[in-house]
Amino acid sequence: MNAPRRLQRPRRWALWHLRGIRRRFHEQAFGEELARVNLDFTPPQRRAYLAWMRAHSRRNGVPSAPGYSVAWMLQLQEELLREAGLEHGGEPAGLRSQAVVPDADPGPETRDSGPKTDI
Amino acid sequence: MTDERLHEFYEELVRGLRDRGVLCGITSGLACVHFQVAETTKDCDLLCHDSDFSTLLQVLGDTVLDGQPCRYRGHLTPPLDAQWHRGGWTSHFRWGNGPEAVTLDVFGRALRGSSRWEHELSGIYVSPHVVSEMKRTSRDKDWPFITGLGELLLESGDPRGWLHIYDLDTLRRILRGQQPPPELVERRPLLQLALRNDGLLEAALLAERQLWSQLDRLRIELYRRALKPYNLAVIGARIPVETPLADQHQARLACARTSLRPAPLLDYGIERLLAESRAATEQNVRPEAMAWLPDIRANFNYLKP
Repeated sequence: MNAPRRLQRPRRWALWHLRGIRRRFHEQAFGEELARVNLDFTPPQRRAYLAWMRAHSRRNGVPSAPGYSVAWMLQLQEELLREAGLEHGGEPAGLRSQAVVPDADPGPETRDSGPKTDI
Repeated sequence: MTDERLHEFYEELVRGLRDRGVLCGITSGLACVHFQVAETTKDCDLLCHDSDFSTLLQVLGDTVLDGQPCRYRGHLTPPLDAQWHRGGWTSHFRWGNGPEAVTLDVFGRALRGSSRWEHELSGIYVSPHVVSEMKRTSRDKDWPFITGLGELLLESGDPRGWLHIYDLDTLRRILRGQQPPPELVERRPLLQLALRNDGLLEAALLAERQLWSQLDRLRIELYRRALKPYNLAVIGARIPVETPLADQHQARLACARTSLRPAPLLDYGIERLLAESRAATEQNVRPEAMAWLPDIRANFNYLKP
């Protein structure tokens, strides 16, 4: 559906009403802290907060997940490698000249020990 | 590379592309962060007009990050070529290896987009409406983001926000202050239930969400099937990892020409996909809610030439 030719900003009262609903939804859906990050922080502050969150997650061993658009491809790649008799992180015998290892995060416990993954 | 520097890298990349006349915009997770619905993703999803793919490929090939060149990601990644992107494929790139790799996912078409994304850019980002339509996946975590973007649209005066509110209480509360325009009620029939405070509204919201989830599951299944022969072809091509991006691209293009169907969804048939998604939805929702599902054919316009 195409964008309206002109945006009609809600009147003052309606805007106040919408903002209240929005805050309530954010608090309910994402929690009070993220609601503040979303609605009260400036974009650079929000990005800094998210960077801290990701670093904190990494320090605590939370594996990073691939993006949605590529996750199913990587999953398929792993399945095909398994079908070909290869475990995750391995390399096909006939393909020594090229790395064909999926790039899903192997997790903190294997991150530094396994073969350096390509892809 | 720190996450903050990473964000700057993506923004600079897009600005550089714009300076070279490339029509593109950031979508998905990073766009959500920009539109006040924080998502923790560090991946960048980029919508790029398919007529600009050759420039994009050239820029990516020239862009070195911390000494790492840009390469195609995995051997399942389809080539960055209009023929395949018009059929709903996506292309994926990386700088570096493993969990520390910096990645870029490129879309030539806005999946599920009912309007042309290139007509409504918001700075270096695509509009919240486009982001919201693209987020209608089978992944549970996406749905609160859709409602958040819908609220933002309404606040900015774009009535299409009514199409994206999936939270029952939020929908009811908004209705106390304003009403959706008739054309949007026609587009999204469950808004009639909301307007008359009908008890079926919650079931209808769940049914609509379920329909999108089923569509996405079926879509991925179709593309998975189509990708397998291509995978074998790329493995067989033995493209060394250090191959420059332009050469990797040519090799993938050759594999795609023989082994990758350009438009699996069109081949399968949109009507067939819709019918099967509705049938799958029917198994999981209250039968009377089915009558309130929207006509979503327009959300497949992205597959039209």
